[in-house]
Amino acid sequence: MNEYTAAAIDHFTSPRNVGAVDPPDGKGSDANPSCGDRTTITIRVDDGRVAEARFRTFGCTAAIASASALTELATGRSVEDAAALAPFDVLHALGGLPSRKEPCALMAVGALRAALLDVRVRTGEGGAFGPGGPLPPHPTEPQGPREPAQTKSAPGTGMR
Amino acid sequence: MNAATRVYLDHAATTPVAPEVAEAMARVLREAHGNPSSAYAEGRAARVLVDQAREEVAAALGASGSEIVFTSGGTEADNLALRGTFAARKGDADGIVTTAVEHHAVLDTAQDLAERLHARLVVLPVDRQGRVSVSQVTAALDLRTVLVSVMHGNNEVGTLQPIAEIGAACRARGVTFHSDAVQTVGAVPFDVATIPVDLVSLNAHKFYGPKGVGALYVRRGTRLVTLQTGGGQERGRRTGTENVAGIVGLGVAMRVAAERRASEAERQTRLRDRLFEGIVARVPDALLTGHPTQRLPNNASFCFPGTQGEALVVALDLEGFAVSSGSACTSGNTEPSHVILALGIEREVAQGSLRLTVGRDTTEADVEALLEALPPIVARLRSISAEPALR
Repeated sequence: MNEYTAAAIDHFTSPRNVGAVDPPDGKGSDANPSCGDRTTITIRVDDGRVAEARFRTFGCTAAIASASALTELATGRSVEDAAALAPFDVLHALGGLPSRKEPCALMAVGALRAALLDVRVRTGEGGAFGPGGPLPPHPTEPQGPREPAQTKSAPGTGMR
Repeated sequence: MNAATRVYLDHAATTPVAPEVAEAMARVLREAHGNPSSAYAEGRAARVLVDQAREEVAAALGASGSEIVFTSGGTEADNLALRGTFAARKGDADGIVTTAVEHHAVLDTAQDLAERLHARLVVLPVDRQGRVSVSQVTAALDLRTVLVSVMHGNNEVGTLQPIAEIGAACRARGVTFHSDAVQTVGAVPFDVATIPVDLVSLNAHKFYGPKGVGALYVRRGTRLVTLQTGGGQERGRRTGTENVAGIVGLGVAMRVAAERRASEAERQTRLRDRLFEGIVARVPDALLTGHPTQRLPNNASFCFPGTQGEALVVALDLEGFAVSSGSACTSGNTEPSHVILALGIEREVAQGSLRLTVGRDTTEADVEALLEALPPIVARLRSISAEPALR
């Protein structure tokens, strides 16, 4: 019917965690300057874990679905694990997005990482990366091979 | 969701082929295989079909058959008009004047001529309703202007341009005037005897004809250089073996459209106005785009601040409605439409554009169903985006 997976449509029509944590322990936004879409994610952190993550998105189907899926993925994870979530994980949760919509997953991840950094700024310590700890990778940095990505067979080895 | 439960409200993108058209085309495909250029019976039979269609198209425009050049559609007609006129220029003439709300087939062609052949291009701004004024056009003309191209009805927001007045101003100065009338031919009266226009683009699939065929009206005496070389068909202005079935389909579609125009325009205007009234009443902060009255009878277009057009289209599709945001050709691209931006609507509001275009098959029940389905979708998307201005 349309170009989206059933999972993406489900997140679009019944988005999880819409809204804002008030007051938040961390708040981050990211935008896609090429289309004007933007997402804001607010989080509450309890005992080093993301206890609650909520989002607001002005954007297309993919942007809304990505933010919804990412807040689900982040909730309950340690701050460090949440910071390691990548666009790949969002795409995996959605069963993929049309290729030109993949930047929407990047935008959601950008907003979450900004929120996690904000936790560190607000608390002055600890948070995701600790004082002097490494910054989270920028979402555009290439990620190592991930488990589900290997379902694609290497060129020349598959059945035709 | 099966096709029978769908509501198609995107007639500006394309229209379903009318049964009379499909039947006439099928007959041609079955029974007339000749090449219209061949001298024997089969060829002459095909030639008769093409010429009949030519006369039908000409009659609907108030033109004569020799002024109709069949093309592969609106885009080719626009390209032939702009490139063909520019190639036929004389002396130091190099100016092209057009508007910011033209279809890409005109705007991008004009820009290409500017970049590659050094045409001096003037792109006129439009007012908040999408209109360009005659005085703006005349102020942009100079002794080196070759061509003015102003569309008749806008494909996105439906605004009609004052092309009769613009044409008169061009004629008074000896400047060739082209109008892309792809959205209006078949929908509103278009008579080249009363509109001083030299070149008119039209496209069959916008008025219940087949895709892949259109025409350029070329007023007798208009200087035009062909873009293609070959066997010399269409009086050398568009060479290539004629798309006989498509041309016959165009002719029948044109005739049927002319027969139904008056009653359909009135009926569709009512449906359009019901959409306006219903949406404004039910959706807070709905912004009508385009001119309130000087607009296509079938076009109701809006911006809904706090929503994004693609999300509106997908959400409505899931509920059985085919609609569009921005123009169909660019909906793969999430950039706001150049037309909506040209109206002076701010970028973020322009992102929430929605175009509803009714047609022959649209019923009052279809419109009421849309009026039920749309408000909760806008409300849901706004609750997700939670635009501060709307809270």
